[in-house]
Amino acid sequence: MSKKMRVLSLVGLLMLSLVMSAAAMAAPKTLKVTAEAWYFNKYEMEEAARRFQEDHPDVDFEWSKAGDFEVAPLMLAWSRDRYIADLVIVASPSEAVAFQARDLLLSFDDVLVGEYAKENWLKGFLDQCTIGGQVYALPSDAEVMTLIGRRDFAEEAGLTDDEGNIIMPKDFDELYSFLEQLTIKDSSGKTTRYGMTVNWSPEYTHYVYFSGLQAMRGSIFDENGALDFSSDEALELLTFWQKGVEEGLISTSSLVDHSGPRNDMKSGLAAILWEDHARVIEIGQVVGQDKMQIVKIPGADVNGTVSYTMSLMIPKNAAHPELAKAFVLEQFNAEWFAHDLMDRWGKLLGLKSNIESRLDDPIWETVFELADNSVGLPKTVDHAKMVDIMTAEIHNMLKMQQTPSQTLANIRQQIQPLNLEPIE
Amino acid sequence: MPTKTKYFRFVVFLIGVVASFVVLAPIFWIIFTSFKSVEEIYSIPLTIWPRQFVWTNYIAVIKGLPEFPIYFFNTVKVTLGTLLLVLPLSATAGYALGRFDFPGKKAINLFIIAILAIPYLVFLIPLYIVEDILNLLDTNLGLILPYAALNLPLGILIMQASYKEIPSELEDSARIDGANPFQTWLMVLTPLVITGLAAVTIFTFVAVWEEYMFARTFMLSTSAQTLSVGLPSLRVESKSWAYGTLSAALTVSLLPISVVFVVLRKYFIEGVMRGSIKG
Amino acid sequence: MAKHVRRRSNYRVPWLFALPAVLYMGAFLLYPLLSALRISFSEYNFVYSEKPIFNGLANYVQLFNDPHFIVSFKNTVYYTLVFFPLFMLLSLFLALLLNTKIKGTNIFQAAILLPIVVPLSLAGIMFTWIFSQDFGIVNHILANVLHLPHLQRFWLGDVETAMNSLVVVGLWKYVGFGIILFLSGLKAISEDIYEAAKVDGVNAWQNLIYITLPNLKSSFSLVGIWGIIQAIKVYDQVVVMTNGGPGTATSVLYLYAWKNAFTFFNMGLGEAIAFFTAALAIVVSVFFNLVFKSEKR
Repeated sequence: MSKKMRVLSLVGLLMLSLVMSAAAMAAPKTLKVTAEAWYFNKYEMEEAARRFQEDHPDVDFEWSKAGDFEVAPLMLAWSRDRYIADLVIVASPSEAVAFQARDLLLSFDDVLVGEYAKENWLKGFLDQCTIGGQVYALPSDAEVMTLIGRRDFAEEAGLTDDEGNIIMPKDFDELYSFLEQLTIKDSSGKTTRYGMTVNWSPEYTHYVYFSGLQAMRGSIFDENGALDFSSDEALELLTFWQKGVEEGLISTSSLVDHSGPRNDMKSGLAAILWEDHARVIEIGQVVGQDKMQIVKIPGADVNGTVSYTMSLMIPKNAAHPELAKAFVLEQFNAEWFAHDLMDRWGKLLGLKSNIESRLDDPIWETVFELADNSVGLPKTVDHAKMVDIMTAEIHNMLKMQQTPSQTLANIRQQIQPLNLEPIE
Repeated sequence: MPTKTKYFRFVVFLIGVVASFVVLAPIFWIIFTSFKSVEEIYSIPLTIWPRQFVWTNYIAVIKGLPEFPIYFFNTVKVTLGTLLLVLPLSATAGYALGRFDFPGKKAINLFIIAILAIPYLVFLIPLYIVEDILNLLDTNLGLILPYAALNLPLGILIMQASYKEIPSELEDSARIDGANPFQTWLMVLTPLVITGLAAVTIFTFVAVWEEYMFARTFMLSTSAQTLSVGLPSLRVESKSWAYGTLSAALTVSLLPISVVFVVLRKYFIEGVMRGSIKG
Repeated sequence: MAKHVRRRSNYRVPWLFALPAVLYMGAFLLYPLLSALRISFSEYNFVYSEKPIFNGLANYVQLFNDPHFIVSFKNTVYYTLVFFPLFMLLSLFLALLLNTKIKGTNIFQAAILLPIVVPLSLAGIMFTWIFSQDFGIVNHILANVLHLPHLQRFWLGDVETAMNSLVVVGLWKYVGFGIILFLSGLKAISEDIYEAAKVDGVNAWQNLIYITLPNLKSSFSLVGIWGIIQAIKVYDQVVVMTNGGPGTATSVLYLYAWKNAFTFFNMGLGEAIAFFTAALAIVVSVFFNLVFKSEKR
C-alpha cells in the first residue's frame, strides 16, 4: 500500500467514525415494551408513549406483543437472561419471583422517593411486589377479589336496605339463602337466572378460593404456615360451591370460558359475580352503572381479601432501564392514565393519590378499603403447578365427581412433593 | 337393472350432497357470522343467514388487527424457507440413496424410518433448548430449521423412491456423454422426478401451514408468529371473544388456501398420499 | 488396485450427495433425540436448575404416581377408542363414495377434502363457536329447528360431552386424509377383477365384500396406523378449545407433557411423558402391522 493510500484510508476511517458517532448521538433510544396482546388494547399505550416523547424527544417505542396466555415461553426465554425488553408486563409477582431468584430483576427502590415513596402506594399491592424488602415490580392491572351484585335483582328479591343497597351477607349460610332467593327456575326446573356466577377459570380459581378463606378466617395459611387446604372453613367454602352448583344456584360457565362469568352478568343470567372488583365497571357499562354494587365477601370487612396484580418489571439486561423506570412512573402512574384505566376497565395502579381523587364514588371507596386490607398469594417455586392441581381438583368437584373433603385431600396429596415455601 | 342402477346412483348422489354439506357447514357458518353485525351475532334466537350483510367485521380486521398481515407474512416466509431447505436436501439425499449402494446407506435409511415413528413431541424440548442457546427463539428461522428437520426424513424417502424408478439407461447414457455426477443429477435425472418434488412440496406445505405446537412454543411475540398460532391467541381477555372480527379473520385466512386447494386438488391428493407414511 | 480406487470414488459421489442431509438430520434430529433421552432421565427445572442432573428413572416413576398423568393417559386412550373406529368407517365409506363414477364426484371431492388445508387450531376456533352454549349453532338447531331442546348441551363444559366434541373436530379435520389413503388403495385394485365378477353376475354388495375389502388389506393397515397415531398425538384443538378442562376431563398426554415442560418448567418430566407417548405410538404401530400383515407391504 502506498503512503498516499494509507493516509487517505486513515482520513476516510476518521470521517466514517465521526459520521457514525454523530448518527449514534442523533439516533433515538428505543424503549421496548413487552406485554400480552390484550394489554395494548386495554391500556392507552400509544397516548402514554406520545406524552412521554414530549418530555423525552429522543425516545422511540417498540411494542412487543405476546400471545394471550402464551407468556410461559416468553418468561422462560427471559429466565435464560435473553434480552426481551426494557419493560415487561407479563406476570403476577408470584410468577415473577422466578426471575428474582435468578437475579434478573432491577429494584425500584432508588426511584421510590418523594411523591413515589413507598407509603404512598396501596400496601396490599406493593407488598406483593416486594421481595426481601426491595420492590422488584410495580403493580399494574391490579384488582381485589370480591362479590359484585345486581341491585335491581336484589331489590326484586327483597335483599336491599332502605337506600336500595344490597345487604351485606354476614356469613356463607346467609349468602346461600340470598342465592336461593335470587335464583329463578322455569317450570322444568332449569335455571334461567343464577344467584351467582363464580370465576373458576384457571386464571382465577386460586384467587377466588383464597379470597374466600381470607375473608372467612383472616388467613390463607394453616396453623403450620402452609397454604390452607385443611381447615373447616376450606371445607365449608368448597361445600358452599358444590351445593350451589348442584342445586342450580351457581353458574359454571367459567369452566370453559374465562369470560363466561362476566358475560353471565352482562346478559342478566346471574345476579352476583365472584371475581374481581374491576368487572363492576365493565358490566356496568352494559347494564347501567347504577345497577351495580360491590358486595363484600362475608367476613371481608374485617379480614380483608386477596388481591391480584400484574407486575411492571424491568429486566437487569434492559437496554435503557432508567428510561423504563421514568416511563412507568411518569406515564403509567400519572393521574390521566390511572383514571382512564379505572373509568374504562375498573383496574387499578398502585399510587394511592390517583384513587383518592375518586373516593366520592362509593364503588371506589369500597375498592380502596379492600385493596388496602388485602393480601397477595405467596411467591413460591412451584406456584404454577399448585394452581394447576387446585384448578383441576376443584373443577372435578364442581362436576360432582368427588366430595369437598376428597377434593381437599387430593390437593393435599398432590402438592406434597411441591416446593411451596414462600420466598420473601 | 337400469332402473335399479339409476336408483343406486341417485342414493349415492344424495349421500354425496349430504356429506359435502356436513363438511362445509362449519365453514359456511363462520362465513355467515363474519357478515353479521355484532348485535346479530349475540342475539337470541340465533340467525343462520345474516339478516343484513355488513362489512364492519372486515373493516375491524383491517383497522383493528395490525397483527393479522404480520401473521400472514410470517406463515408465507416460514413455509417458503422450509421448502428452500427441504427440497434440495431431500433431492440430493434421495439421489444418493435411490441410485447408489454405499456403506452407511442402510444406517441412514434405518435412522429415517426410526425418526418417522417418533412423535414430534419428543423433539420439542431439546430443540427448544438448542434454539435457546443459538438465540433463535422468536425468529422465523427458529421455526424454519425444526420444520425442515421434521419434514426432511419423509422428503428423502419420497425422493429416494422417485429416483429409483428412473431406468438406469438414462443415467448411463449421460455418463457416456461425459456428464459428471452432479450434472447428471441436476440436468438429466431431476427433471424426471418433478412429481416427486411436487409431492414433497405439498406435504411439507400442508405440515408447515397447520403446525401449532412448535409455533406456539418457539414464537413468543406477534412479530414472529404464524397464522395457526396467532389467530387463536387473539381471543381471550380483550373484552370477550370478538367472534365477528375473528370470523372475518378466519375467512380471510382460509379463502386463499381453499382456492389453491380446489384448483390444485390433484397435487394435494398426491402429496398427502405419499406423505402419510408419517404418523 | 485400479478397481479399488474406482470403488472409493463411487462411494465418494453418493456420500457427497447424502452429506448435507445427513449433517442436517444429525444436528436437528439425532442430537436432539439423544439430548431428549438424557433430559428424560434428569431432574431439570429450566428456570431453577443450572443444568440437568441425572436422576435415573425417577421421572418415569413419578409419572405413574401422578394422578393427573394417569388421567391424561386414560383420556388419550378414550379419545383414541372413540376417534379410531369412526375415522376408519367414515374414511372408508366416503372413499367408496368418491370412487364411484357418478356425476358430481369432483365437486364432492373438493368439498369433503377441503378440511385438509384448514389448520386444526383454526378449526378449533370455529368449533368452539359452533359448540358454544348460548350462541352456538348446534344448540340452536337442536332447540329451534329440530325442536329437541332437551338434547341441548354445554358441549365443551360438561365432562360427558367435552371429549366427544373434541373427537368431532379431529374427525372433521382428519377424515380427508383417511379418504385419500383409501382411495389410493381402491385405485390400485385392478378393473379386470370387477369385469370378471360382472360376467359371473355378482351384485354391488358382493363386489364390496368379496373383492374390494379383501384387496384393501394393506390400506387398512396404513390408514389404521395413521389414524391411531393422529389420535395419540391429539393436541391442537384441545389447547384451543378446552385446554384440558373442565377439570381434567380433556387433559391428554401431549397437553400434559407441554404443561410440565413449559408451564411448570419441569423439562425432565415433560420429556418422560414424551417418550412414554412415543413408546405407545410405536407399540400400537407394530401391533397393527402384525395384525394386518400382508405379503405385499
